[in-house]
Amino acid sequence: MTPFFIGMSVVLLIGVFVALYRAFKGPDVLDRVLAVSLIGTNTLVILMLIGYIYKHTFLDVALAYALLSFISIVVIARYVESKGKL
Amino acid sequence: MFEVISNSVVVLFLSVGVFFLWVGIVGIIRFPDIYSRLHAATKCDILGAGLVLIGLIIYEGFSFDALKLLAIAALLLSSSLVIGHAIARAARRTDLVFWHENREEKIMLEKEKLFREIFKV
Amino acid sequence: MDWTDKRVRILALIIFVFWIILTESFAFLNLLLGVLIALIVSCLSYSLLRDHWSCMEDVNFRKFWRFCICTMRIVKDVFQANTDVGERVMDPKMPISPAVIKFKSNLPGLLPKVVLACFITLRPGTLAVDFEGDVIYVHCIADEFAKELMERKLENLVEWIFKEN
Repeated sequence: MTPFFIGMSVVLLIGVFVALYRAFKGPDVLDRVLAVSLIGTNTLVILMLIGYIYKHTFLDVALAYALLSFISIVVIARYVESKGKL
Repeated sequence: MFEVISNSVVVLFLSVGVFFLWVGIVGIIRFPDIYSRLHAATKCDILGAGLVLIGLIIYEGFSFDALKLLAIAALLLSSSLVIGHAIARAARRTDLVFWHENREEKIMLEKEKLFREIFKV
Repeated sequence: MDWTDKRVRILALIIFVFWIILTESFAFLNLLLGVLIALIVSCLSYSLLRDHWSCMEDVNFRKFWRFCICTMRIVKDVFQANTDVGERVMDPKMPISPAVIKFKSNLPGLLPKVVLACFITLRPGTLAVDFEGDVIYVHCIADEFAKELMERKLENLVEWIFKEN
């Protein structure tokens, strides 16, 4: 199963670079925030797949990453909301 | 024999999950305004990552790692919904106008009139 | 620091289960440390959460069970929503005609409204944007979803979850 996991991770990694286009170009701040949140989810999935390639070592990292990304995105959205247009 | 069946089920789940994650990415690139991008992002996040996690749980069998994966799945479901609502609320309160087909007529109108009221409150 | 509050004990139990999942062992010292950490963390969080969880006042086991049944029922909608978004994205002409509608709900309390907003977001083609009192602003990606929302099936579902008894 290891080659299949590697292939899926590579496909998702290409997707991350495609989503980076929206984070670079996005006309508004919130577009960039949305692109970064999508990149966060994809990174989480990649981390879990890599953990299954190398003997289950990255699941704790993935859990902590999910918590941190959730909190940071919500904080940025609330900050933009309170500041008005940046 | 059993291993072949379970492995093919895992391959199916992972492929469909990665396909839906790609649908989210293409949606974020192609859609014209932030609200429709949020449609693509939240829904495809939930189903894509959820299917990948279910596939990995089937591959793992019953153990502590499967419980961890289940915790990550529950966290992802709730966090994706909350992130979608937070970004949509911030977009509306910072006066981002939503995209419409005949925008040139509509953009002259006042902003609150853009909210077509199908419901009379 | 108020142990008469039922919710503090539930929070401590959740933290303890999470600790066991993270550390992957049932050794005695490990369990002792877990109980200690769960008590400390729940006591510290109580002063932070005290003012904000009044909406969790009348949650009981039966409502939670009905909520789980409804999430099972909504899984089919999630599949439909994703295939719908996929069709609209992959189509070269991109057949979308967005509209924002006001949805007035008569649900009491904060928690039923939040559950209703989550179900609206999981339905195909609709996205809950904002609250203003009783009114929810809903962004529909095409007009037919607005008509579907008007039948108020979802509101009846949420009402069934949060009914008394």
